Amino acid sequence: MKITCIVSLLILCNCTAPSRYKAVTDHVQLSETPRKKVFIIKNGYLPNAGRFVEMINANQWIRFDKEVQALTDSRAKSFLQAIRLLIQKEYFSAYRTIEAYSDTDFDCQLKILKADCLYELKADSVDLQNKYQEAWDCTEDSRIKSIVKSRFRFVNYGL
Amino acid sequence: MACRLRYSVLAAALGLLGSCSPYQRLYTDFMKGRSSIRYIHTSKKEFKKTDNRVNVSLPVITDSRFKSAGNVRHVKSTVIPLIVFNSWDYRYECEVGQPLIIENLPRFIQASVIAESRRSGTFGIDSVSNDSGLTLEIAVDSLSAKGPYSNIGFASYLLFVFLSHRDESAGPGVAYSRFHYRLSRAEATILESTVSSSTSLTTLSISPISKFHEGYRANLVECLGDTFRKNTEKIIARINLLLKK
Repeated sequence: MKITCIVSLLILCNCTAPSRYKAVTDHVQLSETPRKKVFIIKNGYLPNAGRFVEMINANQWIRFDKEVQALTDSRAKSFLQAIRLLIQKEYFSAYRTIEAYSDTDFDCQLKILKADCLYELKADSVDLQNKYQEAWDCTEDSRIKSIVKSRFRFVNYGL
Repeated sequence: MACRLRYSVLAAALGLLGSCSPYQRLYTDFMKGRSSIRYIHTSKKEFKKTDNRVNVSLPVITDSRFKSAGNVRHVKSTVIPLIVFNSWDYRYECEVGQPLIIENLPRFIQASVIAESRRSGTFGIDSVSNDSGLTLEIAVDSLSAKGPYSNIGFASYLLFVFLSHRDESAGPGVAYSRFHYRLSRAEATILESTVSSSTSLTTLSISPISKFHEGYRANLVECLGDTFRKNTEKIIARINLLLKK
């Protein structure tokens, strides 16, 4: 009985472990989210970006799916769906969702997303540091450069 | 009552154990693994390239101190080992050595110079051909990455009251490197100089706490990598200027 309780508790803890990934709007300071792997959903990408960020971070997936379906931009749809899948630890599906899109989309965050998926999939043959270097070179946005740097540090130093 | 007494004795014993030297654990954690020194190249890309070509030979590390395995050196320790009040203050200095770095440093520096030059250099570079007769030699004559570590705390036990506090901190660490470089054409020196850089690690925030010691090593190696980045950028910028003339 005791063992069953402990096992159930461990399974429960594992299921509810918060994701390392988080979405933020372009007004949030990155220093407010230490130790999180962040994606910036800017207002310029899609209407009501803030609402999508709230839904992602609150795991309101039913409402999220409904609102994503209502979007007309297929790139934005895929970007949001990939973030959702990454948070839900469905890394391969997340990669497949954005595979066909250009790395430069969303200020090169698609490149970061793809590299994150490969990292989580433990794709040993991929030079991840180089992928993040390419993402750094790809974007002009200083906040996204900062996101890339923290990803690089995580992969390279485990920090 | 007997049960409470047992817990109190246990708490006191744990308090006393808290003051045991953390050296062995720190040493094992700090020295057992290796960290990567790779870094992100942050310089601006130069798209206009000239026909000049430079051959970069394999750098040499002449600072023999760095070839040692790294070290955790005892600096100071104070312990008050009373039963009712027990406090400790252990201080060490942690230093990175070449064996704690994953990459082969001469090969890494050579590859970094080539990568940096392909980004911000106005000239072609490689480690094989020597068409224009320009050769870049680099000697790393000084490098270090070290910083303090402290473990301070107390445990106080009075009847059934037990208080304890422990603070483990690391940093600020400092990394320093100095590169001596020489650009020559057919054995004649056309540029010779030294560049140096230092990077300090101000705060260390590592989670989970079980990775604190390893994280400190990784952080020091990261700082050392940062000094390599700065030095490499300076060398390429200087060669750019020279070859522009």
